[in-house]
Amino acid sequence: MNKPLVLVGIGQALAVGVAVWGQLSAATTGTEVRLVTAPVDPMDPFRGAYVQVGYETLDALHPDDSGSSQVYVSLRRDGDVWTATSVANDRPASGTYLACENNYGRLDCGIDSWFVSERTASQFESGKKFVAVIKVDRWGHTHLVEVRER
Amino acid sequence: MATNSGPRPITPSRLHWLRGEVAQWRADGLVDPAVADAIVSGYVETSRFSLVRLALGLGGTFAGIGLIWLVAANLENLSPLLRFALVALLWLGSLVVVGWLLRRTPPRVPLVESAAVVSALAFGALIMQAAQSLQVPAYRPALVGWWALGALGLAYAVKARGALIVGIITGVVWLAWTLGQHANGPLPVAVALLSVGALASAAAAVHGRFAPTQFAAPWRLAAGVTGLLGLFIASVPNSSEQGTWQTGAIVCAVVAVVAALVALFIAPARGLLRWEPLIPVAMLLAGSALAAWTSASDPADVSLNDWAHSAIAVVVFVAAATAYAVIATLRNSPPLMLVAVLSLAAFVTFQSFAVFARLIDGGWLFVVVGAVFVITGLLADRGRRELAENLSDERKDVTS
Repeated sequence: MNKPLVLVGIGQALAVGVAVWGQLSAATTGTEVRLVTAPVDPMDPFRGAYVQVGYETLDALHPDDSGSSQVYVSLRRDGDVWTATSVANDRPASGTYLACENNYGRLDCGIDSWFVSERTASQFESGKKFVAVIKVDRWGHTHLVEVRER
Repeated sequence: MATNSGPRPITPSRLHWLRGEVAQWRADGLVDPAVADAIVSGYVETSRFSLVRLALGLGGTFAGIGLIWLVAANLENLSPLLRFALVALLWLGSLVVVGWLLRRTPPRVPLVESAAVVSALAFGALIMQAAQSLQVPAYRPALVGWWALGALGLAYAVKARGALIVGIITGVVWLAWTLGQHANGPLPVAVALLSVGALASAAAAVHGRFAPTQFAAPWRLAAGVTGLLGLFIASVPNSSEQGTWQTGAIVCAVVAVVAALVALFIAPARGLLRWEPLIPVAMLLAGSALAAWTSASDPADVSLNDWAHSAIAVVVFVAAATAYAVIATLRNSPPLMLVAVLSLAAFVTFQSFAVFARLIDGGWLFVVVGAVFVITGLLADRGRRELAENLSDERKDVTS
């Protein structure tokens, strides 16, 4: 086999791993938390239909809206679901937390898209209550495992 | 025993290159005039359109796009892991096919090209499937960036222009998207495109010395398209804030300028073409200034500031389009010439629309704008022909 081609193949395989590293780490090593959601259903050009998942508990935090930065959202168990308690610029020393991007006051924690078929996506009507099952690793990386009716 | 089947048909650009090389061999004393003439006369210029190449090119592109479409269809009958395994198998299969085709002697270039395009697109499908299976949030430009890197790596490893084009397109999309996603105006997108223009031009200039010569043309075309598009966006009259200079845009512009200056010193080109990497740098500087200039604040009145903005934008754009027309003539590149002529006609029409729309309306506006388009197109075409005539000496100098 052509040696440069083999190297390219190995490089491409590594690139795939790096591109999805955060989700891969959370999916394989993370602990499970559940957050209450309010979904709507849009579309991604390369990956098709997905459910846009909003989180009431994250929306209630109101972080600084003057710029874009890395923040950490601490979580606390509250019955069968978890709630966000605070948002900070420094990584918490202990406890379960999400590593998020604060984009002008909007928190992006990597858990706002749930890719399903177009038919399934249309079943997530707004108005109903759903719960998202999420895996979180020790660095706050997240992997959205499932969205189900509460 | 070999049979004499007459001159072999080759493309005009290849014959142009061969004549240049043979002239150089003659000048170096490697071949005598009779041998040089015999070599050149063994080939004949042809623009014959190859249906096989077209079918293979289109077939490869359709197959690759179909694979990405398959990912977007989100086949729920298969588990996310199984879907990823299936796409990974197809990607791996495409690499094996490329490797097998490369081993064949003589190598069938159109087949390798077609397989490499499928493989470059299959790698994109693999990245998107991995992201979909792991629920990576939608609209992440970094995924397209990784795709671009993989496609470019493949293109250089197997010397396939189709994979290079996939890499260039995805790379441009990644940069413009990354800088534009949090932008509060057109400035970062314009700077991104103008910077890509400078980077692509620098890349084109150093090919032939550090990389395959045949890759210079796609980079040069990308430089023309992105640079002129960036200048177009930067020149649009805008009354609101054009957007602030973000760190990403500044870094991008600085890297582009440095790359262009490095290319200027190490590129093998001679004569007028030596200065080619400086054209997109001048466009980047002028485009940044135009994008930061606020005009058209009053929709009911055309102020002196508005006229000045439009006039300077037209002068800058005409100069940039003319510079690319000169490069297209010297490099014997009809696609780049088409980009220069069409962009100039579209730009002047758009600018005149922006000004005339506030002075006249209804049917007359269309008549005036249509007339401007036709006149600009005719003038640009006449300019192209005169340019070709005036630069014939310089072309000979580049070729010899």
